[in-house]
Amino acid sequence: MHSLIQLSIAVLLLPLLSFVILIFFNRRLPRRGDFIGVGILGATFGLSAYIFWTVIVQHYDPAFRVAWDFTWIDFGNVPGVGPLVIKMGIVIDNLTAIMLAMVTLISFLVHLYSTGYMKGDKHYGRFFAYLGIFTFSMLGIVLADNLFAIYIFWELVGLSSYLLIGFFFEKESAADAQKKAFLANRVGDIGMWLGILILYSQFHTFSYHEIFGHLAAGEFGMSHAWLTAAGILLFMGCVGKSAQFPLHVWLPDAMEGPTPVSALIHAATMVAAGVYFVARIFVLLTPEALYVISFVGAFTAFMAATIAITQHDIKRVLAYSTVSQLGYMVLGLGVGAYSAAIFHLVTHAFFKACLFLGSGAIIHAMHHEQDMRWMGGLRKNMPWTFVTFSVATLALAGLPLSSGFMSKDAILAGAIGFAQAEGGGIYYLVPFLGFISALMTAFYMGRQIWLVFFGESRTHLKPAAPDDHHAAHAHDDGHEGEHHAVHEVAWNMRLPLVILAALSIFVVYSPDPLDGGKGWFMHMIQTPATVVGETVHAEPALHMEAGESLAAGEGHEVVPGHGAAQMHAETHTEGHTFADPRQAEIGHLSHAAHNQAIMISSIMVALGIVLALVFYVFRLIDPDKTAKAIRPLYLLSFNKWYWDEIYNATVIKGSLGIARLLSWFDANIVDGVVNGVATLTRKFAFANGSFDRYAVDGMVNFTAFFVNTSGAFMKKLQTGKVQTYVVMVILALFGYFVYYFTQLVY
Amino acid sequence: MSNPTYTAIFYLFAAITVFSAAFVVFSRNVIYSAFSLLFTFFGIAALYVFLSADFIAVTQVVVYVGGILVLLLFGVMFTNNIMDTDLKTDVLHAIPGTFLFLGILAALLFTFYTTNGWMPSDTQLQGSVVERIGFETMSRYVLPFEMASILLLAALIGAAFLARYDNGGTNEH
Amino acid sequence: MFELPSGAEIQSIISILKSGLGFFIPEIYLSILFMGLIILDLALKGRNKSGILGWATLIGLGGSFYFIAQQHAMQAGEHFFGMYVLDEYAIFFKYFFVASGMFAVVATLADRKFDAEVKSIGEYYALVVAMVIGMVMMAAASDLLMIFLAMELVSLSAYILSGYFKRDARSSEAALKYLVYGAVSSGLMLYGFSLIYGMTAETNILKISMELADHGYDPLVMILATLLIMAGFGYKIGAFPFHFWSPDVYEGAPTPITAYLSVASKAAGFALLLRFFYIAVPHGVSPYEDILGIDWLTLLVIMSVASMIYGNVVAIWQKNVKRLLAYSSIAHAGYLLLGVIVMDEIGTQAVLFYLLSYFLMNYAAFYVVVLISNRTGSETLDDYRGLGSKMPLAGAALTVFLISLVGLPPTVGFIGKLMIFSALLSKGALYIWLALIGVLTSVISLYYYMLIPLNMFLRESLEPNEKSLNPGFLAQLMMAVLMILTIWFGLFFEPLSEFARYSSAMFGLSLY
Repeated sequence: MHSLIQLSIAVLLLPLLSFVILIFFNRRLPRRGDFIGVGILGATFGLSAYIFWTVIVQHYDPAFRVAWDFTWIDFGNVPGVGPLVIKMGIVIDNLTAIMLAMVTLISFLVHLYSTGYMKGDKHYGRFFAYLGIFTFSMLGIVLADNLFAIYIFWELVGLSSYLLIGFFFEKESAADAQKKAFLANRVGDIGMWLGILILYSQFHTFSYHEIFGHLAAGEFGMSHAWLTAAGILLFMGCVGKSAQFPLHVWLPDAMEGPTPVSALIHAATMVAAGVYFVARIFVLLTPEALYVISFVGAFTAFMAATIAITQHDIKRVLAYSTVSQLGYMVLGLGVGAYSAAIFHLVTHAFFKACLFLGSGAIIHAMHHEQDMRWMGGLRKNMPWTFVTFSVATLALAGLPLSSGFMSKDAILAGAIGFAQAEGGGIYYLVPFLGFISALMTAFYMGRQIWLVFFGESRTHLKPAAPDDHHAAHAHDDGHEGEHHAVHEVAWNMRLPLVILAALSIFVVYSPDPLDGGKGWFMHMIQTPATVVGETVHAEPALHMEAGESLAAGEGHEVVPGHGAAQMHAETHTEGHTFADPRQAEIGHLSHAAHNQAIMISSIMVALGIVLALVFYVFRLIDPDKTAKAIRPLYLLSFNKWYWDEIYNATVIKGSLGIARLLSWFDANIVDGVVNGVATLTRKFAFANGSFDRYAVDGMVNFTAFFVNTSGAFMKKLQTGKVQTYVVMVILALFGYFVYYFTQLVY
Repeated sequence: MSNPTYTAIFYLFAAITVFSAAFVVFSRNVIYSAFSLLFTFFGIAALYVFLSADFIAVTQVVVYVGGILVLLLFGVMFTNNIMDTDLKTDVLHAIPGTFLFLGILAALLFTFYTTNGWMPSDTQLQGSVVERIGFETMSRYVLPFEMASILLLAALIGAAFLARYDNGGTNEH
Repeated sequence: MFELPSGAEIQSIISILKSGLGFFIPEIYLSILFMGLIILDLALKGRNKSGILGWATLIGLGGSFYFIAQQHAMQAGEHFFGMYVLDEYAIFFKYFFVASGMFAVVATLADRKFDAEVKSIGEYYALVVAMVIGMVMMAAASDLLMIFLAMELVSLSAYILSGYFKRDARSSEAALKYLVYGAVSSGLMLYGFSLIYGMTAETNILKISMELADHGYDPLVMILATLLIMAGFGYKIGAFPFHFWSPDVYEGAPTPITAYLSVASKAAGFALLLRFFYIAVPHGVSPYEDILGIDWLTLLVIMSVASMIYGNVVAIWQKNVKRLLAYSSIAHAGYLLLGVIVMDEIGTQAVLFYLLSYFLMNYAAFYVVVLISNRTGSETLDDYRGLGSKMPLAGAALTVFLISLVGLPPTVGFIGKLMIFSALLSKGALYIWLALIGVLTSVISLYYYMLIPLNMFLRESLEPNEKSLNPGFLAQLMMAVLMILTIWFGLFFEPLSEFARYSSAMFGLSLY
């Protein structure tokens, strides 16, 4: 076994150890065991950093790959299915090494930060335990070498996310958000599982490597459309987990969880798992699937950005911006800007974690005030938070010299290249939406910075709504003496902010602030060659196109296609080579569009900032009046495009209707059958009440109710009298005999 | 075996066995039940004779009638107020019970009367079988014989345990 | 008149018996142990008597592993004129039962209730060993006579053991019910045996198989015989509708004996069931065909499905943990029957594996129940409230074992269920719905099993005293080891499944 593999197993299991220790013994340990969580995560990060160093710095090889697996279950030859062997294993390549370092670092920082933020919470120890199991599952996703394992860990992160969203389960909104997240993720996971099964049915293996190998060898027995379907179904997992349209609704609500959790899970790592997964399976996605992915991503990026503009809650703005940025990443993968998307994933993880932790610091300092309308002027009171928050904001907005600038521009350049390669038309919508979103990103982040840090404190302006007051009072019980005094947070919350802000600066990734392509990152992560090349060519239009461009490549100056690949390799010493003509063409065109993208996006960002200044700093235009002037648009944005209402009217109402139907069925038929028992009616009334609440609950309750009542009936057989038992046996034997007898006679 | 006298005697003993056994079950007085059991054992011994198992028949009489039944009667007699106690069961489902009884009876009778697949024994037994039993016990059936001895030892220990007077655990608190 | 055989014949008989003796050493050793314990009980005096006896039993039983292990090298075959058979299958169960006996002793040593309730423990350990002998013989018997005697030995020991708390009314009641029920079942089974003997004039199951195949049989009598024999076997495995004794007995009996009965006695029933129906009953060309002209598979299917549904559904209502586990053991009998239904090598392997996993998780669960009742003096669900914080390791361990009993990964119970279900599915579409019922009822079982951790971890104790209860170092270690094993074998189960595959070879099996 390679020593890296051994290390990575340790990295995987250490957080689990933290979970096990803390979940059982946190009450016994001093400080509820938080030092164990932080310490173990620190060690985990140390090991990951060593792996990162070995893989990225020492080897510095784009094709680096170490894998190890073992047979987990061997069913032998199962008739009807064929040989059924489930393997488990670990694969370490550049992507894994980078993700490992990123996940463990952020997790470690969040652990550290939580020692301050969660201090005094009733379930302080349990919180760290949950963080431990989350980190374990996330590392499992990163390390897994097959679809089966990733699915297991996928569900595990879902579970830990569920636990952490509902951490303040006494709050009803938290409990609701928890359920919403769970259900939305289930929808995506079902699709993902179906996709896995399609692939499994063809190749009898779950391993990425083997599946890609089989695909590359052209062994996919079904039609091209099935492969596209498999790709889109797998992408559904990403839609759920990475909160893409139309399953994005859960992520903003998930902000009900503690803020460190929002930073770790719902901004930096777990939601990026969807993007990571699509990157893993990138090579098997057909162009058709990629179209779907790019449009979903572009639309999500745009829609979420419009919503973020009008939100008041500081965390909600960040949540929608997360959705928007995830849309960018998905868009990037869809257009084939693979390395750019991964790059953005990593840079986004750092600056968004920084933003969330910063907002956590603000909320902490403001005594749980989350509404930006009642903040203001915090830059004087919280200088550290202000500086780090601003750096991260610049990165998010995509200003030059920041990490976000490089990654976002790479994606947008890819989008332009994609649109050109596909021949324009509708495909220009993708870069267009991307640029518009960039503008809006700059705008809403400018708005946020201004509202939070500049101007005068507006705490006193807050209308004293009775429930607000009550809540604030309840929270502030402990701080009666220092009421409304806003202080900078302690070092254990400041340090993570500084580290994360430092990681949002360009030098970490590339020496040239204008071109991420010159950095180590883009060198290490290169677009893998697609394995669906042969099947792709079964599609005539694209084949023609590829052929044409190939033919054109010989005669003309502008050389797309294969020629482009060669030329590309000649002109750029980084040596990006593409086996597939389509990828080559996109790659080349995006490279050509690099400067163009920088220009447009800089203009967009500048425009966004200027707009923010105009609205909020110089107050040349009154935002409220503007909102009134374009009221329908404002309401559309403010109400999050009414997605919740739409789902309410369709999916939820529909399910409730079914639930009522079931309830009626239960009331009139089941009860009629089993009637006469007085207790039954009472139980039924109880069951009936819960039916109305949720369709899912209703179904479950129906089953439970049925099982329960039948159990109650069967229980009666156990009279406690041995005579009865004997009679039962004789009766059973007699019954069997009569059954066989009638079979024999007839 | 088709001698009608033979058959008549067989049915006589069979009837004695069945009816006395029924009386054991249905009587509400333990003493009557115990005495009725005497007839059951005798009837069964007689049936063994019909099967040429004379040794078993004698053993049956000696062990069950002479030993077990006497013990049983002693036990009953020594128990206080047993004569006055009315045995009753509170689980009485006379009608379903009767149906079940008749159904099983019908099933068994139907099966036995419509079947002709019985395998007749190839050796006709004549005279005393005691020697043969002794020989077989110590050769072919030595393992079951030993097994039975362990079984009986276990039973003995169990009986001793149950019969022993026990006034509490080892660690009196 | 009987004529004494010639000297040569007698010599040959003696030599056969002598040679058979060589294959019978573990049983002889166990019998000596049984008697030795009785004598030791008489000889010993003093305060530590029960401890010494317990450890002596433990070491004595452990010693038999040596003799059993040597049997691997021996040729499979019948001995003692077809009374006793030695094959890998029997050896598997020898290990299994000796280990169960040892575990029962370990649980007894841990159980404080014995100190308070029982004056003389000597007979107890002797009877545990007697039961091991009986079960070993059940797995190795190839003659109806031996089967009956072995079963009676097991039952008789079990009656007394389950009533060992003489002054506890529940325990005595359990023993009495068990006795009455067991007597009826044995009687029914004996009736079935006599019908088989009537048709074949043979008691050896291999010869019965040949006779039935050669001379044919009347299907009606065969049905009757099969049903009656099933009544006997069904009582041992505790499957619906022959399970009625089990909840009462499991609840009333001392907890170690409950564990012993629910694992070992059940396994012995399955050992017998598999051997009898695989060997004594001639099969059609394929298991799909009606066997014996009747589809007796239907009988097993009904029993299995009814057991799974009944056991799991009724368990939901139980408030007593022992009783809950009793009902769940009925359900487990149903799952095991699914493996019998498969009727081939894979099915046998699955059954053996499931038994191993069941051994581990059920014993372990009962062990924790014993430890908890030592501290709280109670086995009702309500008294488990808040125990998770008072006995964290016990709570965690019990949770793991219950998860394993539900059949969730990554525990050995998951693999056991998986093997049963995949064995079923390997038979094709015909059995999919059976597997489906199995899975659905497992989901039901999740509910009531999880009630226990729910009470332990998420509900507050009724008594506010927050002091932690320490079950002692050895017990903690034992629980930790069992917990690790449960998960370890859930991940790396190859050795177990290989052992099960290796042990699925029965002597005289013409089925595959």
